[in-house]
Amino acid sequence: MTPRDFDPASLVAGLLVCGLGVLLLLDQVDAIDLRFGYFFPAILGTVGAIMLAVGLTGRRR
Amino acid sequence: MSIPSDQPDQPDQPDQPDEPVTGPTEPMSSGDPLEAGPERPQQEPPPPAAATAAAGAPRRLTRSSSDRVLGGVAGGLGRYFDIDPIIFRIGFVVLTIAGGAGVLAYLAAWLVVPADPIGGEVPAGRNRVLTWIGGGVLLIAAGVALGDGLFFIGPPLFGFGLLALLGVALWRAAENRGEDGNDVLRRAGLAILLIVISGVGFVAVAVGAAVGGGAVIAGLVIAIGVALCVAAFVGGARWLVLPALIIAIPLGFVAAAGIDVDGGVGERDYRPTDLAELRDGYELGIGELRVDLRDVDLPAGRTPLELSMGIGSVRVLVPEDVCVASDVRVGAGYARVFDRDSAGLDVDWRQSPTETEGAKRLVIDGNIGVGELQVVHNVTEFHDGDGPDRTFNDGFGSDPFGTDNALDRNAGCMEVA
Repeated sequence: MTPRDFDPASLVAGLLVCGLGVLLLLDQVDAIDLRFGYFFPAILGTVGAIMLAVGLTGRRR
Repeated sequence: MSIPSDQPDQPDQPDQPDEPVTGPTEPMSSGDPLEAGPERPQQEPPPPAAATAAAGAPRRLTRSSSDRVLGGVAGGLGRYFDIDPIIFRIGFVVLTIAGGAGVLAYLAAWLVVPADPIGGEVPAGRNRVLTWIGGGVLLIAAGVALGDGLFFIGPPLFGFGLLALLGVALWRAAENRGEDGNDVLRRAGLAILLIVISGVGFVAVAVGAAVGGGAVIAGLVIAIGVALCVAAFVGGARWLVLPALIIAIPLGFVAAAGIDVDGGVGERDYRPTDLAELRDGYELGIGELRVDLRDVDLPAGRTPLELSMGIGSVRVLVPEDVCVASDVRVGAGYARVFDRDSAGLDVDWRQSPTETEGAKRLVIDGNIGVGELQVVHNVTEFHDGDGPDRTFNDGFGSDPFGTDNALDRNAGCMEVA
């Protein structure tokens, strides 16, 4: 692997998607009670952070 | 192999006179925020011949770099439609005031409509517009988390915002970029197909989650996240973000609303005539559930009653001499117990009147995903939403003693807490 192979935006997106999935899984196993008051900030934060990461790292070539 | 770009932003160029853009204006950094392909050839500058042939090129919608307050969206729209941009600015402001849709519509247009090249070259590395929008969305997320986020997440914004996004996506897909007409049609058809597939995916995931497959679907979201992380070291696979969101959003909605469609679909009427017929609980997946307890002579003390509804309406009739205590959760919808009501998202409804020795007390434990729960004494008291004789408090717990509801009270209780 060379440094040119590394896409930090994909890594950020992957970590955020994993976090979102864990949040949803915790609700499914009744470890937490997901509410709209938590879900909307979580999904907006995920989308916003991914957009920020993509914007800062630029387009793939 | 993909090569990440690390070129810094180009310095801002001075504004240029506002002239119509007719030349080929292929966007280089705006739009297409989550580029799918790991490999994409370097964008070649248009040949001089193309620039000189600008007069014959089709007119394109671009953001104005000269007539701009924020991103030049209204200026570009005004130029494109040959209308004073102030009309569009007023429209954005009005939509923003009327629920916040204007903000999302503006951001969406800012994201997908390319900037005109008159103001200078578009940076080839970082995407400044996407960075700003991402930051803005993060701020909105923080506002939703820390305060009353309903301004941003209310139905008007989601409805208008979604329509705006779909409209802009189709607009851009069907835009003539000097190609053959068949190419335009093919691109537009693919866009429509993608939107339809996404919509079907949304519904399928929502149904799957509602029937109990949420854990598996959440696991799939995590798997996609792991795949994204792994792919980051071998060139990236940003396109995986889209399926991840298509799966995660409807699952999150079902989970947040607490929708559980166990119990079937349809209309159910229960009218027990004595205590022996009264169940501990009633449930329905989708539909209308009516429980009439007026013929039941409840004993003194507590009588528990569990009510569960995935999507639909639960209506309960209780005898006049029964004191009702309630603990109801409504993911999205309306809850009402006699003269008190509340509506919206995440409705938590708790009423615990002071217990009186020897009194008949019905303790309702309700869980409604999307829909309503109403508890009244008489059929005529049910609120159908269009009753001519009264209106109900539909705020978030505000005015819990709405005077319009005062006809029906929790009369079985000696004292209301």
